[in-house]
Amino acid sequence: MLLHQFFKFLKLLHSDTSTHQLSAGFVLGMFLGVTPALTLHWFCYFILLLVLRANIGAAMLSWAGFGILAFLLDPVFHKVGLYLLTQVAAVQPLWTTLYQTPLVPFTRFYNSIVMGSLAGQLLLAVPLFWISGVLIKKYRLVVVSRFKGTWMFRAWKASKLSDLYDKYQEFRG
Amino acid sequence: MTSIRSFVAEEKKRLSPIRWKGFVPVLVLFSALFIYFTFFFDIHLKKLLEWAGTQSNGAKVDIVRVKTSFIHTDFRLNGLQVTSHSDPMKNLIEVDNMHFQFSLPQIFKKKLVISDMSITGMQYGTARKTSGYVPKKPSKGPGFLDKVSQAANAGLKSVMDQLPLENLEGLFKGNPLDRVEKLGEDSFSFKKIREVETQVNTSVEDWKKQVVELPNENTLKDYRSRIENAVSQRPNNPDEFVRNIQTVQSIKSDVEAQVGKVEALQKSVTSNVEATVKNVASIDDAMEQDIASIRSKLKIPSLNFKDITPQLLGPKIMHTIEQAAYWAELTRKYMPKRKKGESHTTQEREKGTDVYFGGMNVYPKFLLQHAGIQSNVSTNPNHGNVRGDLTNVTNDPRLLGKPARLDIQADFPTSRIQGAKIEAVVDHTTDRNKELFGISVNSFPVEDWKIAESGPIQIALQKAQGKAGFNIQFGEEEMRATLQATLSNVQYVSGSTTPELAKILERVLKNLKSFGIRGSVEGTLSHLRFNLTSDLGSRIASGIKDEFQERIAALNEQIRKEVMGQILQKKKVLQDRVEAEKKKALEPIERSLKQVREIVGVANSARERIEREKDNFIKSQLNKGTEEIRKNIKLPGKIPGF
Repeated sequence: MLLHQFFKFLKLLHSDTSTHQLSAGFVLGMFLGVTPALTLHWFCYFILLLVLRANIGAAMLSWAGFGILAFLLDPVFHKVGLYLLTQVAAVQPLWTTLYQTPLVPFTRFYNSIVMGSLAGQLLLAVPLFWISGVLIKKYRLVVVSRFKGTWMFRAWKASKLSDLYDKYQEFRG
Repeated sequence: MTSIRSFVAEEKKRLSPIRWKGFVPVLVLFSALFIYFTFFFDIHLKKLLEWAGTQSNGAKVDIVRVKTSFIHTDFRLNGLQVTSHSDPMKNLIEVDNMHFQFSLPQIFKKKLVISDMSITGMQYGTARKTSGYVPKKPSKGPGFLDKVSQAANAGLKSVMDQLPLENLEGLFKGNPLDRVEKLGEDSFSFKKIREVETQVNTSVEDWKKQVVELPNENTLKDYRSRIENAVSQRPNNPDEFVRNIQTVQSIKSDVEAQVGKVEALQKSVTSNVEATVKNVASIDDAMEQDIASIRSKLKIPSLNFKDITPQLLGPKIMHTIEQAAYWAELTRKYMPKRKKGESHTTQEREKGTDVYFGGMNVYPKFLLQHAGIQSNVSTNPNHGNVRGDLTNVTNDPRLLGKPARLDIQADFPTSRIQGAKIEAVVDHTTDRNKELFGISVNSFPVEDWKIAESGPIQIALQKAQGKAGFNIQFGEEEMRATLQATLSNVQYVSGSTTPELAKILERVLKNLKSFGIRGSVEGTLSHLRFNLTSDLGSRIASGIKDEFQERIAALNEQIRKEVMGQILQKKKVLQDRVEAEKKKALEPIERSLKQVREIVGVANSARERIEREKDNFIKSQLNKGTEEIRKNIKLPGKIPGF
C-alpha cells in the first residue's frame, strides 16, 4: 500500500497539481499520522482533509510514513507530553480550565502522548509545509524538466499511444 | 493550441481552497453516526453494560432493554438481573425499571453525572432461567478479600481447634486403650528411668569416693593423744608452757582445716544427693508426658469449652464476612481513594499516562448524585414495599468529598419479611478506606436453614421466626463485625454420627424453643478475634460436658493408672536405693564432722588450761621469789609490797 501511495505521489509530482495543495496534504497527513486515533482533533484533521483542497494522495503517503515514525517517537512524545502536563507550572491553570471546558476533554489532551504529539505537530507544521514546498518545486524544476527533455519522453510524446493515454486520463478526470 | 490539460490546470488554479465535494463524505459520515446512534447505539450500550456489570459482579448481569435519549438527557433500563455470585441460579436483585437523568453539559466535558436515578420494581432472590456463573479470573496478587478471608479463617480455626468435637466420634468404641500400644523402651518414662539409673550409679560412686577422704579414726586419735600429751606435761619454766600452748594451737589449726574439709565434703555430697533425689522425682514429669502422648493418640478432647457456637455457625459467619469483603474490595477498585496532597492522579495506560486536573467545584469523571429506589407490593410474590436512596457514588470520592451512601427500608409481606433495613456507607474521601455495611430485619421466617452440616453434629431449623442484625466495618487493615439474632418457635431437625451426641442433641433441642446468637469478629487483618456465643451452642456444650466429662475423666484416670502401673515400681526401686546410699554417705560425714569439732573444743579447753597453769606457775614463782627476798633482806619497818 505504501508503494502504491508512493507511485501515486510521483504521478502527482509530475502533474500540474499546485505545490501548496501537495504541501498542505503532507502536513495534514503528518497530523493524522502522529495523533493517536479516536481523539476529537484527529477527526477534525480528517474532516479538514476532505473539505480543504489539500491533496489527499500526498496526505495518505505522509499519514502512512509519519504513522510508522510515530511508533518510534512515542517514548519521546510521552516524555515531552508528561513534562508539559505536570512540570510547567505556568500552564497548569490553562490545563485545569481546558479540562473542565466542554468538548476539550474529548481531545484527550491530558494524555502524555497526545500532548507530546500535539507539541510536535505545532512545531513541525510550518517548517514541513515550507520544506515540502521547496523540495517539490526543486524536483519539478530539476528532475521533471530533465526527464521531459530525454529522447524517451519526446519519443513517447510523439507517439499515438501517448495521445490515447492522455484522452484516457481526461476521461477519468 | 491550448490543450485540454493546460486548460484544466488553469481552471484548477482559480478554484477556492474549499473542496465542496469533500462535504459529501462528511455528511455521509455524520449521517452514518446519526443512524448508528438512533438504531444501534442502545443495543451496543446494553451489551457494554452487561459486560461491565458481569466483570464487576463476578457473576452474570442481564438487561432486557436500554433506551437512551440525548434530547431528553435520560436513559432507561428495563429488566435488570444481577446474579448472586454464591448461587448462580438465583438473582441477587432483579429490577423492573431504572431511569437515569444525566447532565448533558457534563457529557460534553467527558463526565457522566447522573443527577437523579429512580429504581422501581425491585425483587430479591428470584430464580433464573439460565445459570449466571462466570469463571473467576486469576488474580494478580492477594487482594483485600483474600486478606480478610485468610485472617478470618485463621481466627476461626484458632477458636475451633479448642472444640475438637470430631474426636468424640468413636472415642468410646470398645476399650480405647486397646488402640494404644503399651509403653515401649522409647517412651519418655523408660528413657528417663534409664537416664536416672545411670546418674544414680555415678552419684553413688562419687559419694563413696568422697566418704573415703574423710579423716580416719587413727588420725583423730592421734590429735587427741597429742593434745592430752601437751596438757599432761608439768613444765618447769614459762617457756615450756609457751611451747605447749603453741603445740596445742598447731593441733587446733590442723583440726580446723579438717573441719573445713569435712564441711565442704558435706555440702558437696548434700547438693549431689538433692540433685539425685530431684532427678528421680522428675520421672513423674516423664510419666505426664507419656500420659499426654497417649491422650493425644486417642484424641481425647479437653472439654474446656463453654460454647460450641463457633463450630456450628462459624463457617456461615465466615461466608457472610467474605461476601461483605467482596463488596468492599469492589468499591476500593472502582471508587479508589487518592493520597493526601496529590494534586494530580495518574493512571498508567497502555499508551502514555493520563494526568488528572482537578479543581474546586468540578465534577468527577463519574458521579451518581442521587438514586431513589421504590418498589410496591404487587401480585408478584417477590415484590415488596421498598424505599431507599443511593447517593454520591463516584469514581473520585476525594474530589467529591462525600461518602457514598445506601439506605433501604423494605417489607415483603408475601414472604413475611418485616422491617428490613440495609445501610451501606463507603468513605474513601481520606487516606484511609472505610466501609460499613449493615443489615437488620425485624421479623423473617426461617425454613430449612442448615445451621451445621458437616462435622459430628448436624442441625437444621425446619421452621422458626427470626430477628437479626449484622453490621460490619472495614478499615484500611482492620475490621469489626457484630451479629445479633433471635430465633423463636423453633422446630429442629438434628442428627449425629455419634449415638451419644445424637441423644444429647435430642435432649437439649426438645426444650429449646427459642435462642439468641451473639457474635463479634474484630482485630487487624493479621490477627482477628472471633467471639461467638448462643444459647443453642452453650446448651449443647453443657450437654456434651455432662455426658462425656465423667467418661473422659474415667478414661484419663485409666490411662494414668496404666502408665503409673508400668513405671511406679521402677521409680520406687530407684528412690529406695537413693535413700539407702544417701544414708550411707551422709552419716559418716556427719559423724566425722562431729568428731573433728569435738577435737577443736578439746584443743580450746587444753589451751585454756595450759594458759591457766602457766599463769599460776608464774604467780607461784613470783611469790616464792618475794619470800626469799624478804627473808634475805632485813628491812627496818614495813615496806609496802613486802
